[in-house]
Amino acid sequence: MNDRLHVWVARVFLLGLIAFAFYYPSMFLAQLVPITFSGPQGWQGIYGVDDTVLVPLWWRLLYFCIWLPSVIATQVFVLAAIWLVILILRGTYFEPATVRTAQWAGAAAAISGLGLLAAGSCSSWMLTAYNAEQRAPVKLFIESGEMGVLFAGLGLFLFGHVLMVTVLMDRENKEII
Amino acid sequence: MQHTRLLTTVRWGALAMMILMSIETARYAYDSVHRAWRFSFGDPQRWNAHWAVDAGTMIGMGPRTGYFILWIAVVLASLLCFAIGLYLLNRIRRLQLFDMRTALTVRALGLALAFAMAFDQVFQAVDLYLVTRFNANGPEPIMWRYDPSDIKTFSIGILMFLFGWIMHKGIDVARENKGFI
Repeated sequence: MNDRLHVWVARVFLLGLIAFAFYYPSMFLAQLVPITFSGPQGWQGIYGVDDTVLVPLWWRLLYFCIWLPSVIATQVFVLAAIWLVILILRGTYFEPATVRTAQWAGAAAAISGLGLLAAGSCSSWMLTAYNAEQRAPVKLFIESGEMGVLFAGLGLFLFGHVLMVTVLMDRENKEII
Repeated sequence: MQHTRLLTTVRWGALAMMILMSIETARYAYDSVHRAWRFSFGDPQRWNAHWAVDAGTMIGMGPRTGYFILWIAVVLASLLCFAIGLYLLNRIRRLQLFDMRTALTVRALGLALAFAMAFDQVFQAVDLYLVTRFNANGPEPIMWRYDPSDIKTFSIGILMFLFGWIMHKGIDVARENKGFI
């Protein structure tokens, strides 16, 4: 495969990432804002929640907040990935800035995966906390998709360290010369 | 030397990731195959009791087998990613960092991740259609279902692919320079 193909892949990928940077937070807000701010009866009708339940604002806000770490981490991942692709397209390969951006992207992706697993573990418990009966416990939530993001993120973070070795070796060689 | 210390971190990091990933590979393989088998063959009620399937719908063995094969193909694509990932981590653990095989493995992992996630998105798009194919009012439409986890993993796959390419280029340049000297 030639360089032109890779540049083309990088450009198309960049456009996709920019679209996702807007789409992801808008979807998150579209899903969570209505059930957080639609009044105490807003959770009625959600699967597992009593039809007569009234949930105070502070609890709904807390539910909103448990998803925030992973949403913020995802946004950091997407922005770091956008910057990384721009650096690659500029031809900045074995530089500390590129390596650090890769490490940021990897760490942010791993945190987003971990954050979603943690929030998912508390979600049913929080939703059913005001039920008269049949309250769900906090339960370890293992979802293959999030586990995949966690491992892929950790892998990218580790790979950033591998690239950092190259940068340091290159620097040390230059200093010796 | 600063890079020697970093190499130790990389080595131990790769080993720790290998252990965690081996556990996850076993869990994922067992859980996915078990769920696919139970849904397709294990308990006829499970399919018939699906929220989108009409009550009393009879589903033959052919469609069930087809559905199972498609589901397993998605699982196998993900397991391939785990296998390539473990192979790459083992190379990193052995500090085989800057050779052509490592660069090719990074590219292969990137492509495999992107392919597996794209395949998963296709499966999710046709999933409900296949399950509701025998409903009296016709099946649910084939439509794209948004899954941010797939998109994130797909993105990491493309980043890996691009990094593999960069490594490839770097190794080529280093070889040319050595030849020149």
